[in-house]
Amino acid sequence: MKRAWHYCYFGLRVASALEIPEWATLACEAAAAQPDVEILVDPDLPPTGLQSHYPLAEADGVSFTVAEVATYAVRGGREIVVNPFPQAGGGVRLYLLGTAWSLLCYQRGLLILHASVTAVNGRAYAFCGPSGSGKSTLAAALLRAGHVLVADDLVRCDQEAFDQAIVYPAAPRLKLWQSALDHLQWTAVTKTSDHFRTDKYHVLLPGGAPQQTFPLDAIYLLGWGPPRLQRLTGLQALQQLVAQATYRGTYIKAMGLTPAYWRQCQRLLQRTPLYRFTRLQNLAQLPGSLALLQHHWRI
Amino acid sequence: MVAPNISPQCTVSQAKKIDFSDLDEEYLGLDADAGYIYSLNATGFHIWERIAEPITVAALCAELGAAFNIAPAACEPDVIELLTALQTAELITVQDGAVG
Repeated sequence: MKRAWHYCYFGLRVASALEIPEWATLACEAAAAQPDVEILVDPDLPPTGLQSHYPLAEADGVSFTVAEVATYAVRGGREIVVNPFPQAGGGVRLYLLGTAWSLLCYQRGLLILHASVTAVNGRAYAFCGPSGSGKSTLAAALLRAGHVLVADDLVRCDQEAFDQAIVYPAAPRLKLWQSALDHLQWTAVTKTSDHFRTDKYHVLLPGGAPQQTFPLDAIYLLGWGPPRLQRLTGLQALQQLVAQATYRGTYIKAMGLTPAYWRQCQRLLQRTPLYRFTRLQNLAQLPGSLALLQHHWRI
Repeated sequence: MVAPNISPQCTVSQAKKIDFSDLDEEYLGLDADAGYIYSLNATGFHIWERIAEPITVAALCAELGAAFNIAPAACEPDVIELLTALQTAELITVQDGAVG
């Protein structure tokens, strides 16, 4: 099959048979050499026969089927094969860019985290936490305060190459609730409804995305409570990071990568401090939350 | 099974190879087979390294006493407490009496 679309994502050169509008800002020229990753469509790829989302381990990779969406095979850290169900729609890319892409990263031994990341003055800050902990809303408020969006949802960290960890830019997209959009008075942005939740929107940010990597200065685990920043260290920090920032942990386990993953997270924490950041669950408190962070950063 | 009490006459040594590496003020050791991660402070890690080869608890305490400038008898309870925890985690072997 013809590979028509070329992107540079997470530091990898990707040739894709599918157009990926979410990566539009990361489009690049076709690589002269072999791409790092190929995304292919194969109508003969069989469904796993397992329950929806369950990973099926194969000799050279992992497959999974999402009911009414698609079957994905992720092989050797080099290729993702997709077989969409008829009338599957935009959900095909949702699992391609989320689950399938994360599996490919794990196969390549890359450290990826579930986080929203913003940058200011050339330094990046990651915000982690479970669904509903306000990652994207906080990131959106930081953007209004002059930050750029580095990543939302999934970020690649490189904890090995330098004295300081770095993060790779992702696509300029935030997942926000309508209430947060209203509060931030963001109407002049392109929004599309979330695949699952009708009141949540994927917001494509104007002005494009950063192309360069950023040094990661700090990681924050978000929670609700009295406004407070608390440094976490040692085993407690490692446990909390793994518990709150791991993307698709069941797949890491299924692939037998748990020890390697913990070591990667420890290497990251040797370079980047971790904080627990609690604040009140009230959009009106956002300015106070920002002030606490900005004081922390001495801006 | 109740672990036997560790006495100064016992000989202790590592039963498992665990790679510890530092994070902040702690040393974290990953036991991939068992699925556990262990945390030691600097002194605990010093002791862990010292018991790579068999040594009696009395000799270990004497060395620690000299290294940290305290009476060996003073550090003995803390050392035995750590060794007992390591024994419970099946990370060390404990034998009665001196080796050889």
